[in-house]
Amino acid sequence: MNSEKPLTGQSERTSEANMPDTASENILVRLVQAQAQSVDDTLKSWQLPRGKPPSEVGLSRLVQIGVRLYDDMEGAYTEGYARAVKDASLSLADLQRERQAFGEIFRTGAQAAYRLWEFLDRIAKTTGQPIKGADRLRQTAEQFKHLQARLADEWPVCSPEEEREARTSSERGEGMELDDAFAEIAGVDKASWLERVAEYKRKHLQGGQE
Amino acid sequence: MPYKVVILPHAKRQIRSWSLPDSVLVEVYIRLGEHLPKEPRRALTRTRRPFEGMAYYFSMMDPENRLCEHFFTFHILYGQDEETLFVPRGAHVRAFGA
Repeated sequence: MNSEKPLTGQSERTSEANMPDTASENILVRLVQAQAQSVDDTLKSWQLPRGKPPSEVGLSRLVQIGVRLYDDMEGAYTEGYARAVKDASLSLADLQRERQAFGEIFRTGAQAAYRLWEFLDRIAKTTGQPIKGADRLRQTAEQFKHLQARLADEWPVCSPEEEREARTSSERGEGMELDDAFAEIAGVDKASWLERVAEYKRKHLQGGQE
Repeated sequence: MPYKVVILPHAKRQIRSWSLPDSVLVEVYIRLGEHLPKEPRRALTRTRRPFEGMAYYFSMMDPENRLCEHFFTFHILYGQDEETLFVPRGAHVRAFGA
């Protein structure tokens, strides 16, 4: 890419009216089609310069789409998490499949956002023209990683690997019986906890009957 | 035969992180400690995988705030002794409505 054709400026946007969408969409289509492992290859294969460079408008649009992708995925996860907790028709297998799917999406999203940021950074360095908002993509990659961490921490069921670890942990005696565990969670000793439970039953469960 | 219920460390951390009101925490204890062990096969959504595990769902109105409903899902594992239920994980959602 040569520096005689700056990416900024109204004249360029006007003279290359068809370029922004075409260039952006070409990249996006390839990104969307790419699996996580091939995102890197996809961007590397986009040699610079390849014909006319995508304009700043097209590149900024890539940023917007990357950020929007995260917003959409976060919304989907929030809904999926609520459903995982509230929809009793979902089996353990359903919940594990959903967890795996979210995990793959977040991993792919983080990689794609980061690679896209690298790609735009490379263009910016080549042309000497910063791409507006490109740093947001690096932030987006971190946000996807944060979603991965949330998924691992809060999803209601274990992954198959965690299930194996849980069994090992149980065999090592790392679990706690319910009375002890809830007393600790409540921050009281076991006798106080059991008294609290008895008091609750007297008040709410009609003389202690369930 | 009633099962013994054992909470594993991650589930314990999760329950603590939910900051449940006292009455709701007691209810969760009663569901896990009294309802679940009596009839696990009816209460649980069963599935067969390399290791047997199940999802246990329940919900309750907040005794202190009738506009708030609490939903819970817990992952339950059968112990090898077939007398113990392990709780490795869970999740909680609050829903507010009229």
